[in-house]
This record gives sequence, C-alpha cells and structure tokens, in this order.
Amino acid sequence: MRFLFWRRREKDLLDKDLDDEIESHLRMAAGDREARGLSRREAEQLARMEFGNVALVKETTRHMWPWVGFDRFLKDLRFALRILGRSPGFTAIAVLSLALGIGANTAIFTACNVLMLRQLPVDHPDQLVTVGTQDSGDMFEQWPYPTFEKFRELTDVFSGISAIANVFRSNIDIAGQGGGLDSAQVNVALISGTYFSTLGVRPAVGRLFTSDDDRVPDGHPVAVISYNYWQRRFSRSEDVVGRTFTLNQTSYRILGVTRAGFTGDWVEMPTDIWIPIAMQSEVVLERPGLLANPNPPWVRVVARLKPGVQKAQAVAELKVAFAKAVREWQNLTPRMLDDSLKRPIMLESSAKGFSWRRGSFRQPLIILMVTVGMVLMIACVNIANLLLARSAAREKEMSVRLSLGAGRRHIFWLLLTESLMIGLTGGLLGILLASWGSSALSRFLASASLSATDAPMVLDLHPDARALAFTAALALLTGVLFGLAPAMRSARASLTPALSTRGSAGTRGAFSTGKALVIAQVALSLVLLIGAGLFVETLRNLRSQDVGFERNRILLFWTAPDQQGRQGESIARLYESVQDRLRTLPGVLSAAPSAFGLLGGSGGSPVVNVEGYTGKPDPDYFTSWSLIGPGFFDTAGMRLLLGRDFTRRDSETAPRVAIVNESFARFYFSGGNPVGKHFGMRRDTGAPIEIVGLVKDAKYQSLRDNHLKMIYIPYRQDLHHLYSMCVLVHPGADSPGIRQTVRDALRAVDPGLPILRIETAEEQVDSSLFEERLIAAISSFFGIVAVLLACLGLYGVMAYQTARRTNEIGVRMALGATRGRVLGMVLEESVWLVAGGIVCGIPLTLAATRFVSSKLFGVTPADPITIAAAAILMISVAAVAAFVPARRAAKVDPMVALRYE
Amino acid sequence: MPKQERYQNRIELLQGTLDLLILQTLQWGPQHGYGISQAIRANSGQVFEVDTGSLYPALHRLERQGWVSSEWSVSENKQRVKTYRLTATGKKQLANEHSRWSQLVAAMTAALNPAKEG
Repeated sequence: MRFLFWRRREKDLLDKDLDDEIESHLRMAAGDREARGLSRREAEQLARMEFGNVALVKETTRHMWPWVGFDRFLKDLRFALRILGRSPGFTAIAVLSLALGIGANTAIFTACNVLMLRQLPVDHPDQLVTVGTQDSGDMFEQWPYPTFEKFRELTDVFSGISAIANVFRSNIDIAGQGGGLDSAQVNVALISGTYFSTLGVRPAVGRLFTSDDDRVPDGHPVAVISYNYWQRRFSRSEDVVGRTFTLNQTSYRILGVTRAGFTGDWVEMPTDIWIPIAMQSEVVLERPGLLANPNPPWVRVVARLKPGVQKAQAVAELKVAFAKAVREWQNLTPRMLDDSLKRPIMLESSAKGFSWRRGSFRQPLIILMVTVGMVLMIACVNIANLLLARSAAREKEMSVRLSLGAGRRHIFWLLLTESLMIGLTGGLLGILLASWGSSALSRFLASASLSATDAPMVLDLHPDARALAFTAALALLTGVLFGLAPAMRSARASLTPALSTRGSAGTRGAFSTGKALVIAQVALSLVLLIGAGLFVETLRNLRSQDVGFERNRILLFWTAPDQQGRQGESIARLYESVQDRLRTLPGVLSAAPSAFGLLGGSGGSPVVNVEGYTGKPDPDYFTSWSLIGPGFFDTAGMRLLLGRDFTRRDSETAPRVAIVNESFARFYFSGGNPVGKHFGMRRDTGAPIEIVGLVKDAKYQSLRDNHLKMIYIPYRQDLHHLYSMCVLVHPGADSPGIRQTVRDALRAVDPGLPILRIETAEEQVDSSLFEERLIAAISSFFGIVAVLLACLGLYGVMAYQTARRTNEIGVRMALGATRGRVLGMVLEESVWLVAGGIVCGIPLTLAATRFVSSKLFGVTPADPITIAAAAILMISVAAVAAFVPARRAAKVDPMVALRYE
Repeated sequence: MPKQERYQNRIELLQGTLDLLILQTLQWGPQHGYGISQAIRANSGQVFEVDTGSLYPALHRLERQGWVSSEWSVSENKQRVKTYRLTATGKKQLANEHSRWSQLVAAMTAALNPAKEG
C-alpha cells in the first residue's frame, strides 16, 4: 500500500516536472520569435503550433517512465473489476465453475504429487538409491541382514548406506506425564545407525543415531521419535530427551526428535519411532534372531552414491558382494544357488522414497486426474462461450473505444485482463476448495489399509509449493485459454458496421464458434457421465454380490499376540481361552478365531496327492488356505453343505482334517462328495489330510475373487503357521456396547494383548472397496457438475441467440407463426446441438473407457444401457435448460419486437 | 498524421540518429530541450527539424539509461529551465555511436559508388 502511495506521489512530481519543462520550452520559443519582431500573441501562437499536440507529447514522454506499464495495468485492472461487477451473474458462474475445476485439479494433483512426484525432504535426494533385484518378473527390494552387511562394505561407491525395516507395534507404553499405552498402531522403523547421516536428516531436539548406537545386538535401548509423534504424544515438550517408553518389557530412552516434515522414507506410512536395528530381536518378538539369519529377506537398503560414481559401477560392486552373500545362504540346492547368482541387481532412485502403493495407485489417480482435467476443460469452454456471447454484445462498446483512439492491442490486453481476473479469482477460490477436497481425500485414504492388520495410510495432502505453483499455472493458463478467442475477436472488431446498426449479420462467426463449443461441452460431459455410470454400476455389482458370509452384524477383532513373543502352542491356548470367555458373555451368540478374518486374504500352498484325482495339475498352482477355530462357519454365517465342523477334539494328536469349499470340490472331485477323501500339501511332510466337510464358496481376498479354491484347517493342527488371528463375534440382536464388552473380555484374558482394529464385516467389505468407492464418488460428482456446466453453456448460447433474433421472431410471428411453433423452433435447435454433442461424445467415450476396462466389474466398457441412460439424462437436462430461452422467445410481442432495432 | 505533412520538405530523421544528435549537442555543454532542438536544426543547416514528440521521449529515455542527467537551473533571462548534461557513460556511448555512424556512412558511400572502389 505504502509502496503504491509513494509511487503515486513520485508520479505526481514527475508530471509537474514535465509540465514545467514543456511550458519553459514554449516560453523560450515564443521569446525567440518575439525578439524577431512578432507580436507577443503571434509569437505564442506560432510556438504552440510548431510544438504540436502538447498532450500527445506528454503522453509519449510519459511512456519512457519505467512504471507506466504497471500504471496502465492497474487502470485496466480497476476497469476489469468494474465490468465484472456489473454482471454479477456471469462473474459468479464463471468464477465458481472455474474454482471447482481448479480446486479439483489441485486436490488430485496434490495426491499425485505426494505419491509419485515429491522428493524426500532430505539432503540431495537425487543421490539416494535403493538396492533391488528381480525374480521371475517381480521386483524385490528386501534383503537378508547378512547380505546387507556385505553391501555395507562397499564404501568406495557409497558415501552412506543403511538398512530399514518397518514394523507396526501396538504395545508401546510411554512413561511419565501424559504417557500410557498407545492404543493406535505405532510405525516403528528399525534402522542402521548410519540411517540419518545417509539421508542427511537433522534433529529438531536432542540428537539422532550414529553408528555407535547400533553396534551390540540387543545393547542399544534408545530411540528417536518423529516430529509428528512428538507433537501427538508429548505435546512438543522440550524435556522429551531422556524420557522413556516400554516395548515388550524393554525400556527405551528417547535421544531426540527429527525435524518437522521428515516422516521416514516410506511415503504413505509415516514413521513414528526409530530404533537401532541391533534391537531387532527385542522389538520383533515374533521373529527373533533375524540379524544373524542369512536367508529371510526383511530389510530395505537405502544408500547414497558418492558424487561422480556411476550406477553401473555401483551395480558391478554390489553383484560381487551379493555373490559372496549368496554362498552363505543355507539349504540351497545347487540349482537354487545357480538361479540366485543369476539374479539381476538393480539400483533404483530412492529420491521419492519407498511406497507400496505407488504402483497400484497410478491407474486410479490417472483416471481421477483425467476426470478432473476434463471438468476444467468444460469449465473453460463454458466461460469462453459466455465471454464470446458477451463480446458480441459489447461490439458497440469496443467500436466506440477504437474510434476514440484506443489501440487494438490495448483493447486486447484489457479483455485479457478481465479473463485473467476471472482465472485468478477462480484459482484463489480453487485453493480453498482444494484444501477442503484434500482433507476429505486424506480421510478417505485413512480408511484404506494395505491389509486388515496394517495401520491406515496417512498421506499429508496439504498443497505444497509445487501444488500451488500448479494451481497458479492452471489459473493463468485457463484465463488465457478462455480469454484469448473472445479478446482477439473484440480487438478485430471493425469500426463502422457495429456503430451504425446492431447488424446481426456481423455475428455469424460467434454463432458457429459458440455452437461448436456447446457441442464440445456436451461431448466431454457425456464421456464423464458414462464413465461415472460405469464406475457406479461396478461398485453396485461388487456390493450386491453374494460374499458367502453374513456381513451385517459380525464384528471382527484383529489381534496380534505374536507381537508379544507368543508362539504356536501359547497362541493356540490364548485363543481357546478367548473363545471360552466370549461364549459366556451376554449379548454374544457365538465367537470363533480365524487367521485371516473375513476378506483378510489367505495363505497359499500347492495341493498334492489328491485322492482319486488324475487330471492335470491345478493351473493356479497355489491353493488358498486358512486356519480357523471350531464354530467359525456358524459365527460367520457360512453354510456347511456336507460333513461336519471342526471341534476341540481335532487337536495336534488327532488325525489331520480339513474342510474344503465348493470350488475345491468342483475342481478335484467334479462336484462329487469330497468328504472322506484325502490330500496333501507341499509345504509339510505329515500324514495325508482327510476332508471332513464341504462349505459354500465365499470371497476371501477381495470382492473380485473368482471362485478361489479354499482349504480350512483347524489351527491346533498347524501350529507352525499360527501367528495372529482375528476373533469373529456374532452379537445378539440388541447388544449395545458390545465392542467395549468384548474388548474388556480380551484384555481380561491377557492385559497386554495387542488389539489392532475393531470393525464390522460390512466395514471390512467397504474398506476392501475403497478404490472403487473413491472413483465412483468422484466421477459421479464431477459427471453431474459437467452436465450442469454443459447445460449452462447451452442456456447461455440459446438465450443470447434468441435475444439477438428478437426482431426475426417478431417478423415470423407477425407473419402468422404460433407461439408453439416459435417454442418448438428454439427447442429443436437446442436438441440438435445436444444430439451433435452426443454423436461426437460416444466414440470419444468408447475410446476412453477402453482404458478402464480392468477397473470395471459386471459391466462392459461399452455397456449400451449406461450409454443410453447417460444420453437420455443429457438430453432431458439440456431440454430443461433450453426451455427457458425458448419460452422467452415464444413470449415475444411482435409489435415490440419489430420496433426493437 | 498531420504533423508529418508539416515537415514534408525536410528530411525525416533516421531511426536512432536522434539519440546521437542529442548526445553530440550536449557534448558542448549542458542545454535545455528547446536549446537542443534549436542547435540540431542550426547545425544541420536547417535540414533536420526535431519533432518535440520525439525529442522529449528521447531525452527522458536517455536519462533513464543514464547517458544524460538533468537538473533545474535558471537561464540567462532569469527563467527556471530543465537542463540536460552528458554523463560519463553518455560520453562513452557518444564515442561508440559516433564510430558506428562513421562506419555506416563509409559503408553506405562504398555501396552507392561501387565504381570508385575498383
């Protein structure tokens, strides 16, 4: 403000200066002439004549002052605001539709940015690499710890290297003020002491680890916490350094806090606590001793390439180190050794951090980005259309301006300023909408987990500098995009015809452009509408399927006794006690444990030696299996078709039994009775397993499952594969507070039992449909917005056109056309426009939906019903939009109309 | 435009030569706008008529570029006038433009009278 004020004062001074300068020029010129003998009046007149146009000289001189451009811009800006303020309806529609388009684009772009584009907030992230390998086409990024130790010796190619393994713990107990058991799942990263120095992370408080904090196995009970965790659990209190928390009976001392913004190198799962990897056996009680075990891969490796070192050189050295490590692997057959040595070693950039979801989110995010991009395009076309109509209406104004001496270039800039104002206001409002949309998206993502037992995703979707730059660019670009054509049109306006008459002949160009734009809008909207229809139909089809279990009342309690270090027999005993206790609770009809709950996935193992089966081996190779307790089918509402359920008598010592599903029976026994038959599993060497029951098919992994073969095994008979289980509870009809009652009962059996999540079966179904719900919700919302915008465009063009044709309509009516005929004439024209849009839109849709066919379920990309429904919806909404101007046309009074011009 | 008609019988200044003429004029000492226009006209044997619509923008532009500076002073007949003087960079610029102009003239002359060269 002050700056502008100062500018103004200085400009006033300079103006005065120029006035004085010119006045003195004139005075001297007159003086010379007077000295040559002219009269004073004559001399002054002559001097003035010779000087020329004083105002023009001043104006051109002022142009030499540096900020005149800015001054004129301010003037244009004020003018543009005044003009926009004069037609609030147009301005509101333009700004709001643009804000919606820009906001949606910013929100989705933010998600793309966070998952796919953003680099880690560390020093020179582009130098970071992660070591991976490929095995039968799949990418693996995890290594046995002893292999990492071989990689660690390559100090001539890496300036830093670190191992990382994330685990979720739900039994962290913070000592001292505000402490207590953390009921949420805490993301704990086990890391090498070199982790922070490799990445270049600095502390906000205290200190971070050095290699001295990671030397002695089980000897470094220390921790570093993230800024977010510090805020969440310690209210950012400065005395956090030196405080302790307990995890699995070990007390850890907090050394420091990382700086705000750094949440580890796992993008969608922010790390809460870092613990030296030397403490592995203490933290991961369920899998102790991994540090010395040369076989199981479990750590990710992040390294920093030394400046100047080529990737190929590092890969060559890694290969040598890997070959050394492989020779230490145990139980390898010569063939496996050979295969392992042949595996390629790859060095991928780790600049953007690690993500499980980057790959699987790519397609949905691209679908959403295209959707909102099309919405923005429709909004732009819409505004361009309205502006074109307006520019035609303002032809007279522009002609007056031109004839009064405004440059064409100035008029062009003036109009472009107007569009840019709309663009920028839309952009600002769009940022507001985007931050609202982003937080909604964050909440939505938080409801989705990798699997039932993992913590929810947490993505920080606040628009960052890059997203804001994206928005600003969008706002400017759209402003230019929709403003350019109308501005050029107006700047081209000719002087005479517009001044002399309101000649409708001169506006034919605008008409055809306007109509073309409406057709384009309708076509794009149709694509969005059909897309939305397909996604909604997909979601409906998936939802309305028979999932094979009762989904309305069942409660799932995901527990993790293995985190406490319990194993086999101890876990089996725990679940027996839990089942006994829950069965006696009032309000509980039945309860049973299951290793994978409902829709929680399954194990996989090849089936061998099926009694009486002589056909080809199963093309699926892996057959799903799950461990369950007695009463599971009853509790889950899964129908047992033949045979019997498991009982407590099916113990370790009893004969091995299994229950299979219909698909299993159909494949191996051609639908015949499987009860009494035997089979084996490749993963064990025990006695053949007898099938004692047949159960109806259900969904196990996801709602898109296609008749998976399933084997149920009593958990008592497979203690090797018994880890954590999910306790299913079937509550009675009216049992309020049942969640708390069951939770208390579980804690009564074991006060330290980690309870990861409590949800209904229906919630589990919903969270497995998270991606489909997201796409369906966003695409249908914007499909409707697109249709409304297209209709607005149609309305604008038709309203403008009928207003221009008032005279013609008056003549028609004077010549005997009925009101109905006039109404029909306008409606017919609108319908033709929409029909044109639909004709263009259908091939466009078919081309677009082909790319999403893998996302559809129970509906083809070219589903005729969806397409027809979308077209009918489009036409009927458009007819309503066109009816308003049509009725206005029909109401024209011929006498008034003829006098109109 | 009407002003062009008035100067029909005089030679229009070549694009860019006005700057050189102004700088050249100021070489003899500080001068005001009117004085500069009079000097250019007199020195060119009344051939060059300096249009005020070009002179003042040129002066203000040269000042912005730092080649001339201006101040208000009192003239012989006790009038407040704005005088311009050549700055150090202006002098250098003048030398540059001067040699460029000489080159141009030489080149033009050679090009228009090719026979004399042979």
